[in-house]
Amino acid sequence: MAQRVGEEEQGASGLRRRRSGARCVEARERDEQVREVQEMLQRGLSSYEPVLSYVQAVLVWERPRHSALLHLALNAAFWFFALTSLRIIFLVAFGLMIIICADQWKNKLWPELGAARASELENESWGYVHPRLLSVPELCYHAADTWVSVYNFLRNLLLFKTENPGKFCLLACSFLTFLAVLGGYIPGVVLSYLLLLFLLLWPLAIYHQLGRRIYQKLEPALQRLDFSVRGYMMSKYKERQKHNRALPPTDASDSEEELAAFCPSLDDSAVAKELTISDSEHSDAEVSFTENGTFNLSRGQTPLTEGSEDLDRHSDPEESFARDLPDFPSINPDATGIEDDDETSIGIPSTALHPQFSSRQLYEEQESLDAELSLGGFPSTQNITENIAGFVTRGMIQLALAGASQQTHAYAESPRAKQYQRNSSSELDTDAEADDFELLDQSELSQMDPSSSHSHQ
Amino acid sequence: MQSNQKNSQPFKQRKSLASRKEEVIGIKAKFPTKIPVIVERYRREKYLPLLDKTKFLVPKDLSMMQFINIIRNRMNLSATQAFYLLVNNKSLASMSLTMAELYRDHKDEDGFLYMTYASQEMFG
Amino acid sequence: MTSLIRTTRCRHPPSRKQATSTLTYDTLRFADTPDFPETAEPVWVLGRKYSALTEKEQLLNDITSRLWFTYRRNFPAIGGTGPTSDTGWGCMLRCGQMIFAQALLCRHIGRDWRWDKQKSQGEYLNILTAFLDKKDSYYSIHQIAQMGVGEGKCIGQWYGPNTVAQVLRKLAVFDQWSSIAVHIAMDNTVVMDEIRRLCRAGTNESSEAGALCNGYTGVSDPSCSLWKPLVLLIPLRLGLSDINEAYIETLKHCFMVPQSLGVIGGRPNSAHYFIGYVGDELIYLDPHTTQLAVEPSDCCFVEDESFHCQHPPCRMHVSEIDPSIAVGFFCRSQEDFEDWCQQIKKLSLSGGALPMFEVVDQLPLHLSNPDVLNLTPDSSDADRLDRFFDSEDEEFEILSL
Repeated sequence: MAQRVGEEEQGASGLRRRRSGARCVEARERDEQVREVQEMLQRGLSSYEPVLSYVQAVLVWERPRHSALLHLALNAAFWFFALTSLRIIFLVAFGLMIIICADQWKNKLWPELGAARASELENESWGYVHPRLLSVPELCYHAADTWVSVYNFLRNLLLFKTENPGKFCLLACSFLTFLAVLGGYIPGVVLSYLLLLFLLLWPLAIYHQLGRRIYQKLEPALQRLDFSVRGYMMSKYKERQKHNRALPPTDASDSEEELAAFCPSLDDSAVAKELTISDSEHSDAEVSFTENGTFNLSRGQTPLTEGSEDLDRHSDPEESFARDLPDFPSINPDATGIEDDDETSIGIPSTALHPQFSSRQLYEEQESLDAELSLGGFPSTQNITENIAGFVTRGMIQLALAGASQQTHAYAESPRAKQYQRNSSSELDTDAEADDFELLDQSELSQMDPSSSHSHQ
Repeated sequence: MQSNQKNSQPFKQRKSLASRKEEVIGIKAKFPTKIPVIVERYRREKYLPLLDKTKFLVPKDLSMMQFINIIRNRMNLSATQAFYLLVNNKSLASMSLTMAELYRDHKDEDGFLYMTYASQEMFG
Repeated sequence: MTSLIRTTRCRHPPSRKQATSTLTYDTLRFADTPDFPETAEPVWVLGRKYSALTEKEQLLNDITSRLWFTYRRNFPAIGGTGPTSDTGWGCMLRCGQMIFAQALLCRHIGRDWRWDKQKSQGEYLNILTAFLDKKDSYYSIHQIAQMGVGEGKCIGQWYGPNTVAQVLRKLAVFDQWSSIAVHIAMDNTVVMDEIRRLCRAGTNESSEAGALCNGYTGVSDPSCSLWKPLVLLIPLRLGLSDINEAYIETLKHCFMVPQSLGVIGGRPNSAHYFIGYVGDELIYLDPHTTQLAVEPSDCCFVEDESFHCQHPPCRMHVSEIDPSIAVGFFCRSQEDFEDWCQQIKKLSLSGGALPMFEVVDQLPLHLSNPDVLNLTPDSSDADRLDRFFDSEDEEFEILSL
């Protein structure tokens, strides 16, 4: 099926179209995979629907007595294992003994249970509808979705490891350092107990839609920040204006721009006035309606010539980004003679981006698991993870800069890495980032030798 | 695919009236608070997937809105996808009705409540 | 299984045979479209009542004034390399354009506006330009077809009323000029609370919206600043293979509500835009005529005669209608919306006819679906948004290897 779609996409030429086509195919492939896993799970689980809904009911305290018992039992078991002075071999042997006894007992009682089973088989074809609990197909879908996501994540991670050993090492080290620090300060027992509590209370939180309730409380505050499409469009416009002005993007201006985009209400009256005037002035229909916002906004902020360039819509964020690329300060590897240094220096933004990517993937899983979680709080949490990841990696890079250069040297035996060394720095940059950004730069295309472009596809 | 073949015939034609009645009586004795509902796909429907089950036991106080949402979730449909559940192959049910009310008004002579689901036709 | 069917359909979008057959069918039909019947029964067109005996002139003028979108050929290829004609697949897209153009007419120049062949200018031209067959018009066939990919429809695939409604809802977000709120009531239920939230959503841009309102209509309307004009689309299925007779009266009633935008639907396989009824016949505009695409010229003038149906409108018996439809309403202000709710509730209380949809105040918390109101673009929409911004797609085509 994917192949068919691929054929169809081939009709459309052009990198951009192909890129979106590839994304489309990827999404379909993923859907296929999820469907396959789901069907497999469903086949196995469909007869256990009553059991599964019972388990869910217990977890969300729909049967308070059973739930209390479960919590007590799990707590007791946990603290028994945490505090017991018994040896591990003893525990394992004892556990096995219990399992064998239970198995024997079950097998012995099988004939008596058989009669009950037969009547249950008749009910197998009935679907049990519960207003709040998940049905088997839903459970299977979520499980399959999680499974495929984790699988893809691991596959991407492995790919990342083979392609960018240096970055991967840094990333893994920083993550493990974080865990080590965490483990050093907080005892393992406390951590695992917290984990247990989280697992027990998490379904409850979803069941009562804690996420959405909190969001509803926070909504008035969040509404002041404009996350709507209009805000997004405004920020897009401003971004383009910024690029057109060809200013080197600095952190300060960036945040300023963003803030300005989020609070357009400041000069609303002025904008409105301008809009009404322009409407009566310009009988030229098309310009006044398609470009109204840009025109007036740009007139307020930038000289008219730049605004008119904006009107032409010839610019594109990516294109102008590529245009500004030479303005970025960069270390020339040939001049310094250290290739790997260059890699790390370019690697900073991308290593900061990769955790973001993975964390977003994780978020998406989580979101599919609890569909109630609203999107509103999403960008901020993502930013936090991004910031943390960026902070940690930057710290790690400073620590490990000297060591990393040797490490990556050692890894650089693969032909791909050799290719990197041969290529110029700008190409190395775009090539390494290509998976994430797919920069459409003419120079990249012309410089890329056929072998590397083949290996790319 | 197997279920596809199995379900090619509507439920009513697969079983005799007597056996359906018997089944209803049996299931009602076991679950007195639930309503037996048959949910089938419109035979010319091309876009919606088949449900894994056709027979459903539904709580009496469940509203039609909730029931439709449950079926939608079971098929993993998005909120913007068209999905209509027609009672007795005829009419859309009011979303605020409970299943008990619906059952009272529209139940079949065999004791089941029949519903058919479909999306929208496409035009060229 | 279903996806297989979908892709096979994708692969062979419009069969040539089908296209030619519709063409001959068209030419035949337009030749012998009967004139309007001389009947004493009232004629209802989009919330207005006419007498076929005494007000025939006004009636026909009203119908001619509606924007009529048909199949076109020789427009710029969709997506740069796609089809250059929508004959055989675009009829539901065209019907979507028609119902939305009607909404924009109501929004910007009002229901009472009438088309004048000699002087077509101002807001009317703006509206028409938004539907011209080029890729950067807000609601062009290009935009609708490409946005449909997000709804799982390949370019050239047939749409249903719900599909086109969903696509128009997404496209309307980019149309800041109109700043309308589009709500699609799923599950044949209109939730008033959701609509109120949606129409008040843009309160921080309220002053801008208010200014737009004032600027365009010349009437200072205080509710306008707090309430975005609403386009309400309700996709329905009124039966399995044929329409349930019990719904016919309610369907007719939809054309009598002053807020009516008509109904998009059709007979099996061919879409029509229903704008009114007389007796037991529905009056509709038919997109199944292929015309040449209109090139917009520079000097604010568009050859617009082909966008108005100048022959007597087609009619068909109401029982022939395909049960899959979408009903549209336009509410300019909050009072307008409350009035509409009252009308619909009154209708459902009157008994006799079966209500097609229900109006409720709100849903219980756990049932309200965030997706319906979701205004933040998801990733695929953002992708399309990008495409919207860099409308110079050709630049990328040149770069193809």
